Amino acid sequence: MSLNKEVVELNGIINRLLDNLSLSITSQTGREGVEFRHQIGNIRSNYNSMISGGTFPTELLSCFQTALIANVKLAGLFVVHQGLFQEVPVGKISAAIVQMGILFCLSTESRIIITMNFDSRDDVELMMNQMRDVFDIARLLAADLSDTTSYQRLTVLAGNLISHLSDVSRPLPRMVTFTLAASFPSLTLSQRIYYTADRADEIVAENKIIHPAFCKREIRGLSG
Amino acid sequence: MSQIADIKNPWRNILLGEQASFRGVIFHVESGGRSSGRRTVVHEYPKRNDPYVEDMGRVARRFQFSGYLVYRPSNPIYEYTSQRKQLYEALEDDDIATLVHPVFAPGGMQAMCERFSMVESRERGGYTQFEMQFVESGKAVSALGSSTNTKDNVKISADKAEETGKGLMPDDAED
Repeated sequence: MSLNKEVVELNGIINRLLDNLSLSITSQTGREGVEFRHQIGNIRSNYNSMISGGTFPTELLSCFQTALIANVKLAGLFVVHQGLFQEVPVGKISAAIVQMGILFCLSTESRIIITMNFDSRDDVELMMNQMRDVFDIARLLAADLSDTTSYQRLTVLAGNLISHLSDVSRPLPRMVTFTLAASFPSLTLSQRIYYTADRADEIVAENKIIHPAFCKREIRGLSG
Repeated sequence: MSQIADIKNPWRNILLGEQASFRGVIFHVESGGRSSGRRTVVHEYPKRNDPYVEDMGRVARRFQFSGYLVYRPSNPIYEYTSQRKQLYEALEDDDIATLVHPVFAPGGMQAMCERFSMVESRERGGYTQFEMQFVESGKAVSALGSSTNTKDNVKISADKAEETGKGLMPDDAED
C-alpha cells in the first residue's frame, strides 16, 4: 500500500498544513475556536487511520468549515494556501492532500470574501487582483497534476468570485486625491469635500493625520 | 448555365445559410448594419489638461436593415401582397420577437423593432422596400443591481470545488 511509502512525506505535509491552519485563528474565538482546535488536534493524531479509513477528506473539510464559523481572518488562510503552494509532493496521496487542501482553502476564502463589506472601489480592485493571482497559481498547480476537474472547479470559482467583486465594486465610490491650497482642519475639509462635517474622522484615519487640526494639503478620500 | 450563387466561398456560404426574418416573417436584405459602443461620461476639470472618461456600460446594440419584398409569379417562398401585410404587422406587433439574419443575428436574437418605413414607388411595381431599425431586447433588471445573485454563484461553485476535493484521494490510499 502506498500509504506506508509516504509516511514521512505525509507527516510533513499534514503537520505543516495544520500548523498554518491553527495559526489562522485568534485566541478570542469562543466555542467555535475550541472546536476548531479540537478538530486540528484530532486530525494531527489520527490522520493515518483517517486516510486508510477514507474519512480524511471529510474531516479536513469539516475543519475548514469550522474555521469559517469561528471567523478566521482571510490573512490567516492566505498563509495556509501559500504554504500549500510551496509544497512539492512526490507521492500520490501527498499530492492529493495538497490539492485537496488548496481547494478547501480557496473555497473557504471565497466564502469569507462574499461576506466582506468594502468602502471603495480601490479596496475591491485590490482584493480582485490578489485573488486573481492566487487562483492563477492554484490553477497552474492543478494543470501540472493533470487534474482537469480541479482545474475546472477553480476556474469557475475564480470567475464567480471576480464577477461578484465586480458587482460589489460598481456602486462604490472611488478613492481620489484632493489637493488643497492650504492646510485645513479635518472638520473643515469634511465640510468642503462632502458638505458635512460628519466624515472628519474618516479623513483622519485614511490619511494617517497626526493632529486633526493640521491636515496635509494633499489628502486621499472617497469620491462620494 | 452557372449562377453567381454557385461560386462557393466562406462569406457567401454564411450569407446564404439563413433567411432573414422577424417574428417568423421573412424578407430580403439589400444592406444591413450594426451599431453599438460604450456609454461614457467625460469629466473635464478646470485648470487641468487631462480628462477622465467614466465607463457607464455598453450601448444597446442596434441593427438597421434595408429590406425588400418582390413580386414573382408563382413565388415558392411567399405570396407578395400577403407577405407585405404580414411583415408590417410583425414589425408593429407588441413585445419582442426573434430577429434572424445570417451575419448580424445568426441563429436568431430577441429584438424589438424601434421604427420602420415601408416605401413603394410607381417606377418599381411589385417591389416594396422596408427600412427597419431593431434594438436588442436585453433583460429586465434593476438599474442599480444585478439580477443574478453573485453570492449564491460563489457558494455553489465553492460547494462543487469542495466536493471535487473530497474525491481526490487515490483508491489505494484506503485499506
